[in-house]
Amino acid sequence: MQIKSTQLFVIFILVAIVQVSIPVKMIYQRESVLKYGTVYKFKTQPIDPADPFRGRYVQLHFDANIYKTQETNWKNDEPIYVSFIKDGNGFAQIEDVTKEAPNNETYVLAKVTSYVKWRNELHINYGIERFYMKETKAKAAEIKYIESESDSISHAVYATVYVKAGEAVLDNVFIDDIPIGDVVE
Amino acid sequence: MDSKLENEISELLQNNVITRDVAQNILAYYQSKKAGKPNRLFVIFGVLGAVLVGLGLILILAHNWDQLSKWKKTIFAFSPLFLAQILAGYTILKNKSRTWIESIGTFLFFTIGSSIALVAQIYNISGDLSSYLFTWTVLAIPMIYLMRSNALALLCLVYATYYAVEEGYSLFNTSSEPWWYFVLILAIAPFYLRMLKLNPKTNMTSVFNWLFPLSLVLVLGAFVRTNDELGLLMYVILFGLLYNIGQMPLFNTQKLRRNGYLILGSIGTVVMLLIFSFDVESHDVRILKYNMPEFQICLVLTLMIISVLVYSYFKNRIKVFNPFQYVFVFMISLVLSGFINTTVFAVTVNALVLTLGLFTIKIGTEKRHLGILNYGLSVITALVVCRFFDTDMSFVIRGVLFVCVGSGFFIANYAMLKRQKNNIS
Repeated sequence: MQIKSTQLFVIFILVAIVQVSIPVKMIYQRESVLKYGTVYKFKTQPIDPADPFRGRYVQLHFDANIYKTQETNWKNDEPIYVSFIKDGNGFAQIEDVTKEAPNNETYVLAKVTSYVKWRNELHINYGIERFYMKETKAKAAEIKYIESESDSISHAVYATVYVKAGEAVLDNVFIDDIPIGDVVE
Repeated sequence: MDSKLENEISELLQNNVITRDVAQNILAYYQSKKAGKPNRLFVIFGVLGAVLVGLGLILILAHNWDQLSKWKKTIFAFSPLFLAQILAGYTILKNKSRTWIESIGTFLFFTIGSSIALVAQIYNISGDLSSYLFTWTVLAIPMIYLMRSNALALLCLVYATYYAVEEGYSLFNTSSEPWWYFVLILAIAPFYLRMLKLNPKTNMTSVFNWLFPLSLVLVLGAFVRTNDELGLLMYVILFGLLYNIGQMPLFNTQKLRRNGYLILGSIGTVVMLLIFSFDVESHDVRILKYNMPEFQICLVLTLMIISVLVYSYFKNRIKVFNPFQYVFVFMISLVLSGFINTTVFAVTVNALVLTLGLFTIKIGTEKRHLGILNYGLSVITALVVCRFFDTDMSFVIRGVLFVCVGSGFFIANYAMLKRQKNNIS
């Protein structure tokens, strides 16, 4: 059966729409969380790796990547629901980790990285551990962080994360309330 | 006109081998043949240009222009994709030339990747590399059929393999079996089959004849999880399947260098048997569970290889007994019998490699093909070299073996060359 070019073109239009819709859907989901989500400050440490397609980023290690629990029944890569509350300084604290979705809006759908039995530690991956930066700034950001850690004054390094019903969007990273991009300007 | 051809013809003319008329006819024939074909160089440079522009775009966007607002960056993410889509639509509607199809197809492929990458960058989406590559390839595959672009099909095959390798092999034990790879490959396969049917002898089809089996060989190891022994058997069966496919007339009637299935299947089989040929303390198949990916793949591959053999048998294509085609039967029975005695196992495998070597030498001699003959001798040499590392064999025996195989090389090549010389004279 020979397909005419006009028929091919119609199918092509559909495929082209799907090709555009994937990144558009990605944008829509994130924008919705940024607009209606609750913002949390996650304490973190940055290091600087690179991705061949998406550029340089700082890899973030949140305090909330580790949750102490006596429960041992966790499988690697298993989906989990992590609920948060804010402490006195507005930093995120894990309230609970469950295998069923909670009834509130302030939880993130995450994955179990591993469970370290002898330390009772559940290691969690939120899928927001990368903060993409201008290629000239990512390394400088890591150096700045190491410098700020080695002096005697304690610095607050944190990320602002918007959370809404399972979705989490990493918005920015701060050292002492200054965006990390401006710190290394 | 090809200057080499012109030179040859003028030489033949000068030496009165052909007449002036014949020379003119030959030149006219090649000229008319060339007129119908698109210029291959244009296609190659067009694709190369599109690859470079596409990759360059990804790199420029990866710089992360943080002085631009989020929305400006989003426009940058989409504009190359829109441009490529408009060009692709135009190419389809206007039935443009091969150079257009291949170049625009390639450009579109990279803009799909760059748009997803830039959105991920703007919104700090971690998403692992493998899922990104998977989405990219899935979105590009329909374009292979819409544009009928060979370059696009090739890129999709390479990226499907990249995805599977990224997903399946990991240093940190966080990898999982890339089952979706098979879906991607099955989605590309009809296009490849169409190429085989319509243009079996083009260079592009030959490239696929190599890359398709090579991709399978690269990815299969990602399914080896707990049972290494079964993993090795899985490769023996895969190479057997490739060899049997390579024996089908579609591939076997072509030049050997165009038959990636046969060459990879043959070399792979020998390498796997050499690995099995060492007399180890124990072959540990351990508990065989039916839900192991290794077991499932072994089963599917065995069914496929049997289907190919049965099909060839009924089509009357199996005329002589070729041990390469049945190695998998020996190996499956040996591995599944649980290796009652490891020495018996090692001796059997060594005998098998020796048989394959001798069989190849026989084929080489019959076909008077120096390449095949020397390959057969190399198989035996490899077997002897492997035995060199087995310390429990006497030095004298090993020495004699080496001398025998070395002399075999001399004698076989000398005899073959002499025979060829006699034939010419």
